[in-house]
Amino acid sequence: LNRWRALFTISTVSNTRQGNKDMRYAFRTLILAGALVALSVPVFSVTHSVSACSNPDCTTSATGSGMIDTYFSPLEVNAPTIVCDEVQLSGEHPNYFSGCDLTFTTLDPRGNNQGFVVSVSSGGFSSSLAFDSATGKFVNIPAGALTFAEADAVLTHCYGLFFGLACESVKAVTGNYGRTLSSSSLPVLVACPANAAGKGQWANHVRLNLTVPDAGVGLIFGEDALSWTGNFTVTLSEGPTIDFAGTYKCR
Amino acid sequence: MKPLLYLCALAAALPLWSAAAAPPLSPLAGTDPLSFAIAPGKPILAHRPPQRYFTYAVAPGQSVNDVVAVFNPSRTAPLTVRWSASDARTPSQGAGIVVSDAGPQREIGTWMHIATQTVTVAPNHVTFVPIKLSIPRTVRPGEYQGAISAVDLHPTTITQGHLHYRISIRRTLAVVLRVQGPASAGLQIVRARLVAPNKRAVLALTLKNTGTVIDHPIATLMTFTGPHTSYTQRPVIGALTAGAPTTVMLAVGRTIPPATYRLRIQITYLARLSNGAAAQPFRTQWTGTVTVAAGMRS
Repeated sequence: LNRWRALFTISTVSNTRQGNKDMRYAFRTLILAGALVALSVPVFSVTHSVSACSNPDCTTSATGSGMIDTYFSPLEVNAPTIVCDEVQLSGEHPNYFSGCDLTFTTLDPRGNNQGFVVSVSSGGFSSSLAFDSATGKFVNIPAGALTFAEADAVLTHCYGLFFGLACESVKAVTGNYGRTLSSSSLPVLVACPANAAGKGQWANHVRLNLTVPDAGVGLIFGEDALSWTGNFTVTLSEGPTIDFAGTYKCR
Repeated sequence: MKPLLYLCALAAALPLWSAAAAPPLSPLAGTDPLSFAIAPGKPILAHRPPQRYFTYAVAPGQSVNDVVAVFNPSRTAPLTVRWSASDARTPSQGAGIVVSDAGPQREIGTWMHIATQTVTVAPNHVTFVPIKLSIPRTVRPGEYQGAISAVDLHPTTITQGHLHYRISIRRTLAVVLRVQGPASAGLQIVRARLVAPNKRAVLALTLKNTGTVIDHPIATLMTFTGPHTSYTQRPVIGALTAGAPTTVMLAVGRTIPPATYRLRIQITYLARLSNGAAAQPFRTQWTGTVTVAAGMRS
């Protein structure tokens, strides 16, 4: 009974007529469940979930637990930080240049070392104050001003059963060095699958170079009064369809 | 009778709430996890073994309903994610299969419909969102790959001077699709030529998947036969999605004296012609000449 309890508690979330009906069903189910528990019958199930969500805009919610957790990949990437060198006012140079260090940790507690890929994308920088009144458009720094310069990863923990190293090797996707960022994910780090059983945690570092040409947006970039906001997305991908050997040169 | 039923309901509900308060199992996480996870939802709802990606076999003109689940392991903060569906295809350079999450989508990215664009998940909750995969009648039978992604809409914000950085986390789930019907396998070596960026000898090999299923090269043999001796190389080449052309740049791994060489390339690849069938080996080859100029280095 505890297993079933751990799997599901509540409820249907829906603003549709079907959803209201499901709420009534859920309530009736709750009453039925109460009666069943009172009678110590080890049956507790949720029957509404899939059918309730056959209509658009409907979602069903359940409470997480140790049991339900097992259905999800525990692979994690934590909240990254980014530190950039102070932007150099170029003077006689043709552009503004800054190097940015994106750091984050990844955790693979799966234990099967199936590998994963970390990618980065960006929407570039924008400023609500940077406006070209001649064209009537906001001035943006495109993602293409950011270049993937290098990356590295340090294995900080590897929990295995034996003395030998038992975690994937996380390495930079060196083939993408020099490529510019865009709204499409650019692979920067790959954890090559390993024939071992261990749970690893890595401290990752990705170096991005920001080069803003002196022309165009560069004419007003660097002004103290302007505040620029950049959007970055760190993507964690896994799964049997990733071609580690062919695409990422893992052996 | 009714009050009794309510009491029974309360009795049933209380242990459930306490079960909900139990922290999720996360063997290495000592603090509240910042990450989130997504998974195929039907195995969870049906209490079947976990499934780490979506896999479908659908006939042209047919559709299939499914559910994707998103789990917010935080014990305090709600999670809001935005969903998207994408194609996965072979890029024009480098072979392999990568998720193409920007630009126009042509296949799974357009065939997959997610019921809601964004969803908010309460702390320590799982939310199930319906999805529907509809295959147009005109789609050629074969293999397709794609992904469903969820991006956290509450990014970490870092301010440094006059620059602000908003960093979001995205999780992806692979979608593996077989459109049922007669399929074919084919891999064409379109051309091979020696290029010399920065005077380094690099072989640019242009390939095209001429079939309707994914080609998985498993062995590539390149033989340079010169006036006096021959050299062999066994590079690793990534998979090619159906119909994809790509150019692979292969560094010539050893010093080859300047001369004109007869080059023979043989690629053995695996392909699955029908759903659930074992992968079959196929072979393609190309023969031509390449000239190593003086001053090229490997």
